[in-house]
Parts: sequence; C-alpha cells; structure tokens
Amino acid sequence: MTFVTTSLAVAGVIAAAIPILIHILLRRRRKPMQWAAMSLLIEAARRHRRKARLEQIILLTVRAVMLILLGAALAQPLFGDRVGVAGLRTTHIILDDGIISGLIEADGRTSFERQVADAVTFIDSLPSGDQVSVILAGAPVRFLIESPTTDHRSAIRAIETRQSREGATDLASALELADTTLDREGVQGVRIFSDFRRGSIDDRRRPPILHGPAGSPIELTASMPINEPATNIQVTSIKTARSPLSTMGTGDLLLVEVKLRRTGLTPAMVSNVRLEGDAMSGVETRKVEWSPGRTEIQVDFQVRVDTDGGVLEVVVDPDALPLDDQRFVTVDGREPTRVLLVDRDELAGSTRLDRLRGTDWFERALLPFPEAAIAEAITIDRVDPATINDRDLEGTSMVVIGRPDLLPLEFNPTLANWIRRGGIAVVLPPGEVTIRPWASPLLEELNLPWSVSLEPSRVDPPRSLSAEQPSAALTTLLDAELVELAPSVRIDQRLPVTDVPDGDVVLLDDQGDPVVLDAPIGAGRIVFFAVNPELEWTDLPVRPLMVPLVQEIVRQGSALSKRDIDGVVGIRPPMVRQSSVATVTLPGSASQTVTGTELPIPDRTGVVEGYDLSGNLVERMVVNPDTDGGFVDLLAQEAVAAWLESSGSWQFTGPDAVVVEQIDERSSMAVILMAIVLFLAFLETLLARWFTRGGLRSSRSAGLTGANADSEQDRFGRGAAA
Amino acid sequence: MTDSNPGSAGMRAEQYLAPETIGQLTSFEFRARMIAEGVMSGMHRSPYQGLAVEFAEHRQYVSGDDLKHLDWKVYGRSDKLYLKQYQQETNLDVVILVDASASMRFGTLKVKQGWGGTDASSRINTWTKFDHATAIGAALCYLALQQRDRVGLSMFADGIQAQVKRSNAKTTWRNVVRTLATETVDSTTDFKKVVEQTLATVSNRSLFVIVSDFLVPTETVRAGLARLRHRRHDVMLMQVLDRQELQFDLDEPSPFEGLEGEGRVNIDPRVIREDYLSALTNHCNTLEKTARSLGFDYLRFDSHGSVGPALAALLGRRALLARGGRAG
Repeated sequence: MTFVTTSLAVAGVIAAAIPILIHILLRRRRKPMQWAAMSLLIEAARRHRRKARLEQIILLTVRAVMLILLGAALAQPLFGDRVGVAGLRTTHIILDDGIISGLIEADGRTSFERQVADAVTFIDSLPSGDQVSVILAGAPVRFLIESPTTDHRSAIRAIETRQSREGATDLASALELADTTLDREGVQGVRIFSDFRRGSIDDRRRPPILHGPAGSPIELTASMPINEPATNIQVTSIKTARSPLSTMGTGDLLLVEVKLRRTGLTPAMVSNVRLEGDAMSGVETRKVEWSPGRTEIQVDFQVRVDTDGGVLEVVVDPDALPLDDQRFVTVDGREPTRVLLVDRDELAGSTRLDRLRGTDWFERALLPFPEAAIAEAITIDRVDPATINDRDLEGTSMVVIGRPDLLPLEFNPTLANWIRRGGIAVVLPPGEVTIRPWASPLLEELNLPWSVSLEPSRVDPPRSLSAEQPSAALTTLLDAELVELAPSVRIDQRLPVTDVPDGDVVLLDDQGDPVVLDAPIGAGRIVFFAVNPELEWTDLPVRPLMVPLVQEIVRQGSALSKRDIDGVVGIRPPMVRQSSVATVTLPGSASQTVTGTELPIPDRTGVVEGYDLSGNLVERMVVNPDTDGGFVDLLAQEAVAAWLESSGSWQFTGPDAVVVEQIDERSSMAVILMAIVLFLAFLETLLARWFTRGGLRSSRSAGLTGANADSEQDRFGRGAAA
Repeated sequence: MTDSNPGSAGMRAEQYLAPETIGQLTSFEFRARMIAEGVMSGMHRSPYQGLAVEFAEHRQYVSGDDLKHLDWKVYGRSDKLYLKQYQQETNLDVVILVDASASMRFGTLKVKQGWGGTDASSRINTWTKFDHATAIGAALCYLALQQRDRVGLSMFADGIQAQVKRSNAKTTWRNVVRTLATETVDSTTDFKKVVEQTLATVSNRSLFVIVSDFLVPTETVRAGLARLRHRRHDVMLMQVLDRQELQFDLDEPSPFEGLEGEGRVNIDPRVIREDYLSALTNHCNTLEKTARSLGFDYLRFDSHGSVGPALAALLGRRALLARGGRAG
C-alpha cells in the first residue's frame, strides 16, 4: 500500500501521540488531594487497577488508531501491488518550465511560479529520508538535479532560482529522462508539476513506458490540469523577401510577411503589431482586428532596410503569455549572389553550341542578358575541380559541379559541410565516360539513399519530360508552366538513378524516371541532374524551360536554404553560415568558441553574434521562441490521462496535494477509512463513558449516608419553608 | 460553665445542631449546652432519666408497690404481676473516647465567616471530622454531667494523647473543654492499644462512647470491643465521616494522598467510585455488625449533618430499652 500524500499519513501517525501526551501531561499536573479513608481508596484502586489498565490501553488504542486512520484517509491510500511506505523512496520531479509556463495568471504570478510553489510544498512535505531528483521539462529537457538527493533545502533552492524558458514543453522526453533513473533501489515515484495546457502536450509523441527497479510499479502523480481559460497571441513566423523592384536597382525594399496565431479564448479584439530593429529606421505598426473565432492572421510590411542588413523584430501587444510576443529575423546585406561553376576550363570560351557543357548552359541561363541589372545581383566564378578548396566556397551561394568525378575525395566532407551551412550544390553528371564511382562517396557523405549508376545510358527512342510533374519546392512557381514547357524537352541520354524517395524528385521523364532531384541537407540542399543539360544528352538547354528552371533553382534554393537557419529555443541552434566565425555570444551566456557548425541548443531568445579570429563581427543570427509550445487551450483531465496512459497509471492531485479522482479504488478506500474513523469515534465515546462511570449503568449509586441524614433533609426542608 | 441562654431568641433546638450553627458557638460549653438541649427536645421525654439508668430485673409484685412499675405486658401474657426494677447505676461511669488521629483532620465543609471551631479547622477554614467529633463528645459530657454521672474523657490516636479522669465534680467540665480543645496529631490510630490503656484506668463497669471515623481495620476494632465486652462494659460507637467520604462524588482525576502516611495514589474518582463505595459500605457494615454482635450501639454521623436528632434518637432508643420497650 502507498499514499498519494504520504505526509498526511505520517501526520496521522504523529498525531496518534497526542492523546498519549495529553494523558501523561494531565497525570503530572494534578494537585494532590488529601484523603482520610486512604485504606479504602487503596483497596478500591487495587480492585480496579487491573481492569483500569486494560481500559486505558483499550481507550488509548482506539484513539491512536482513530488518528492513524484519519491521517490515512486524508492521505488517500492506494491498495494493490504497490509497495509499502517504508524504506528508501525516490521521487523524480518533472517541472514544466516550458514556454507555456510563462503564462501570467490573475494574481500576477506566472504559472511556473505557482508550480514551483507547489513543488516546494511537496518537497517540504516529504520525510527527511526521501530522495528527490528534478527534471526540467522545457526543451531542451535536462536534469536540474540528476543524482537523487535527500537535501531537500538545496533542491528547493535550485528550483526557486529557475524561470520559464521559451522552449516548448517536452514531457515525453522528460519522462524518457526520468526512466533512465528509475532502476534505483527503493520505491520510485514520478511527479509532474504542469498546468497541462495544450502547449504542454505534444500529440505527435507518446511518453515511454516507465519501468521501476526489477519491473516493480512506480507511483505516478501529476498535477490536475488547470481550468483557467486564457488568450494568447503569438508571432509564429516572419518571412522576408526582397522586393522585385530592388533587384532592378530601384531601392532596398523588403517584404516582411508576419504570421500571427491566437490560441485559447478567441473573442473579438484588436491588437497591434510592431516591426522594428536595427535593419531598418523607425518603427512600423499595424493594427490587427480579430473577429470571434479567428485564430490566424497574416500581416504584411514593406519596409526599406539598410543595405548592410541587420535584425528585424516583430512585437505584438503584451498578453497573458509574453514569451512568444516577439520574434526576430535576420536580413542579409545587399550583396550579389555568387555562383561557382566547377568544371574543366579547357573548352571555356567555346561558342559552338554542341561543345557547350552543362556548366556553360547554367551560366547562360543565369545571365541571359549580361548587360541587364540582374548582372549586379549575380556574380559567376569558375574553378577547376582538381584545385577546388574550402576558400573557393567562402561567400558562395551556389556551386554547380560539372565534373563531380574529378573532385578530390577529400573535398567531399568540405563540400558536405558547406551544404549543411546553407549552400546549394547542383551536381551534373560527367559528360564523359568515367569508371570512377564518384557519386556514392558524396552521397554517403550527405546521407542520401540514392543509387547513381556509374555510366550514362542512351535512351532510344528519346524520351521527353512528363507533362505531369510532381510538386516540388524548387519549382513551386513553375508548376503552372511545366505542363506547357516540360513535354517539349527531349532526352537522349540519362544517368539512371534509383532508390529516390518521392519527395526528392523535381522533374520526371515520360517513363517516370527522375531527371532532376533535390534534397535538403542541413540548411542547404543538393540538386542533382540525372540528365546533363548538354545538347548531347538533351535539348533542355535550348528549350524555354532552361532559364526559368535554373533561375528558380537559385531563387527558391536560396530562399529554402534560409528557412531553418534561425535558432529555436530548445530545438535547434542558429546556423553558422560563415566559416570564418570563431566565437559566438549566445543570449544570456558568455562568448564561446565555435567547433564546426554546431552550437549548443539555445534556451533563450535573442540575437547571436559571430566573431572571427580577429574579433570582428562577421555574422548575426537569431534565436526565436518555440511557438508550438505556446498553445494556451485547456485540456480535459481525461485527455491528459489518455496521453499519459502509455507510461502507466497516473493519479491527479489538486494544489493541496489531495488526490481528486482518477482511480475509484483510492477514493472508496478513503471513504471506508473515514467511516471506520467515525465508528471508532462513537465507540471511543461509549467506552470512555462506560469506563468512567464504571459501566453502562444509567444511574450512579448515591453512596452512604449518616444517621443524621434525615434530620439534615428535615433541616433544609424547614429552612426552605421558612 | 456559662449560664447564658442562646435559646432565648426562640430558635428551634435543631437549628443549633447543624455544623454551621455549632460552629458559630465559639465555646465548647455553649455548643454542648445547645446540643444537649436540642437532644432533650428531640427525645420528648425528661432528659433527666439519665444515661446511666439501666433495666435490672423483674420482681414479683407485693402489695404496696407502686403500680407504675408494673410490667403490664408480662401480666397480659401470664396473668402474673411483676414489677420492672430499674437500677440507677451510681457506679456506671461514662468514658468518652475522641479520636484525634490525623485522619480526623479531613473535612470538605468550608468554614464560613465568624465560625469558631477548633484551632485546626480555623486554620484551614474547614469543618473537619474532628470538629464534629469534639462537638458530639462535648454534648455527651454535658448531658452526663447534668445527670451527675461521672464523666471521663480521652483523646486518642496511636495511644491516649490526653485524658480527663472520671469525675462529676464541677471542675470536670472545664477539664473536658480544655482537653477537647486539643489538636489532632499526625499519628495513626492504634485502637487496640487505646483500649488497653483505657481499661488499665477503669475498674468499674462503664459506658464507653467512642467517637472516631473508625478508618482502621475492623479486626482491631473487634479485638478492642471484645476486650471491653469481656470486662462487661457498655459501648456506643459513633462513627464520624465526612460527606465526601460517604458519597465520593468527585469528578476530576487527581492524586490522593493519605493523611496517615499511606502515600500517594493517582486515581480517577469516577472510575473507582463504585469500588470505593462498595469497600466503604462493606467496612461500615462490618463495623456495625461487630458492634451489634457484641450488644453495642453504633451510630454513623455525616459531618455535614446535624448532631442532635441522631443523638436524641439513639439515647431515646436506649431509654426505651431501659424501660423494657423495643427500639424503633
């Protein structure tokens, strides 16, 4: 048997000492009474002594048992195969410090502060020998106290210094973390302190099955889901795109697309959105009118930004959950996009169309009119694959590899690293026959499942591109055109590629074989042409599709590669794209050295600054809150119980640590115990009366009288009459 | 002895016999006189027939005898005329033994403003059993001396503590009063020893009036009374107990401490009341049976109650017996 609130059970046991203490104290404080008929009194006492001792023991026992059972009833006992209260006990406390815990309540406290207060009360109520560990459930989930300790004061101090974080609550991971420590000796318990709003539960994941030592059951207790509705408006995303006008040299206008989301209560209301930051001058404000029930709104800004770029910040009016009221985005400086063509330069400059290679056609597609303004936006360089190194990739947005078979094997990791930082690599199959397995090392480096043949194969009869192309991110803007443009493209030769997931195909031929493939790698992507855009392979280079296809690869590729470079609290660090970054300063922490591209997962929002070895600021990154954790909608207890069910049978407790319901067994047991207590109270009253009156006789014997008793009565009677 | 007359206010004699009334009579003489007059009033007969009037024998009637001494009951049964002969016991002395042991210090009746009583009771503001016993003793002495009986007085505990030799001289009353004014002692009661010491000073047949709480083993009382019976003495046992001792009507658990060094016992009175009353009843019944079996009188007094009527009833019964009647 065990108890939901063991402290109450212990209090009951301690309270059992009260009647004993009263008995002892009262015995000692009486003033002695002098008595003449002592021999008779002693004789009576001797007669009664054995009986009295038995009566006292019975009464004391009844009273003590009554108090023990009262404490037990209040502590809500649980019966079954649960372990006993004695012995070593460890409680693993999971404290929800995710973004949802920053909700400000009516009394001005945050939800987290209330949960901390409850946790402190709980720890205080534990017996001194009980151990506690503490896990913080806000992402990134981690131990606050990993080794269970009996030092409750230090545990309380550690908890009280914590604050809500801007990462989403990840209870599943927290329970996984707890599960790693449940194989300890003694009784194991897990207690979750959370409000269990929608943001605390990730329906996509299920908590793990929790195992106690040697498969023994674990006491699983969670806070009762809160029932206080709230409204929260959050900035869920900011997208920026330079205005087409800016590419024409008419200005640095930036389109800023801000998405807002409203959770919880959705009444009609008005809120303000403010855009500001060092990337722009001044402040732009928009008023947003929410109609009842509306949950999402997009707000567009068009602002003039500095050519050096910077950081923009979107802020909405403060609400119940202020942690997701702002969001950052970086704006790149206005610099031309650099494209690097990696190919032999032996035939460079040839004007014969049939001698042009894929990289040449790419160059022409990128700069169809060298004198046009777009030439200011794109610079093209060439490098020989045999001499390429990491410095060639510095400042490059896209690499078009015409002879991947000539790339040194040792360059593959460098290339893969560059792609992961946000680079776009376009790989064209070698135009010449090669016996070297060039594709597989690179694909392995990029963890791609594709299987690329060693040699190209002629297609006879020639194929064409399919009129029905899959929907791909790279060709989103071309979808409408592809129906017209694709079928006219003839394919004479192709490099068979198999094991391609559906999502990686951009263009298909009419036989359903992939022609262009695309896969995101880290912040960047790789675009693979199974058909080299040379006239010997295909007439694509001279077809109308070529220019828009290549331009979209650059434009959409660049846009897509920037999508996940911002850090998110608890999920991912910001992407360091500049290889020259040597040290960074994360929000709320000291400067730290960068090793590779990996930064620690941030636990605070803000701007991250990257410095080179000389201490110059070379890159600015941002960390935003995880808005998926900011859903303030209420969850029913049944829903939470269903979600937790996979990990075991949970009990829910209110703030006063009394089990409210969930398992009928315990409430019925408490009722039974209370009934027994009442019965014992009645029994105690009867017994006490019986013992003090010498039995259940209704009348007391009058005692003896003197021979002068009659005259006494007579005297008083006469006195009264007089 | 004073000749002042407190009854001149027309108060009923019984009213003077209550402890609160006796207590206001600051001298023993005054108390004794009031009680004695109350006793006389209660008997409804001439008190001067005396305590020492004793039925002797029947004698056949001869002419010339006073007819008022005829025993009409005997005549009714046997048609024979017999005279009842009474013996004025000129040699039957009255010896009053008053218990002054420590247990007699007990009392629960609070003394009110202006009460006299013994010095001991004045000090503790309580009307004790000793106060009651001395009042009874004084009254009996007064009655006896009024009849010219010889009166002796002994205060006893574990032995004779003070004594007044038997005499009917005028100075006897003063001595009695002075002796009664003594205080209780801290000793226990050694009844057998007291009887032995008393018998050593008494040679002729006497009436012994023993005023005590008799909170001693009844075997010792029986042994002492048997010795008195053996010497053909008459005895009246007057047991004085406090009302609290008789009824034991206490509610609060407390330690009880014996007045005669019995030690301290923690007791809940509510719990052992029945056992105590049973023991007390048993003790008193045994005492009474012992007295009756030896042909002695026994009277139990409640120290919160009046003295006179009970005494009057006892003396009246004795007078009735002396006249050959039956005690009611």
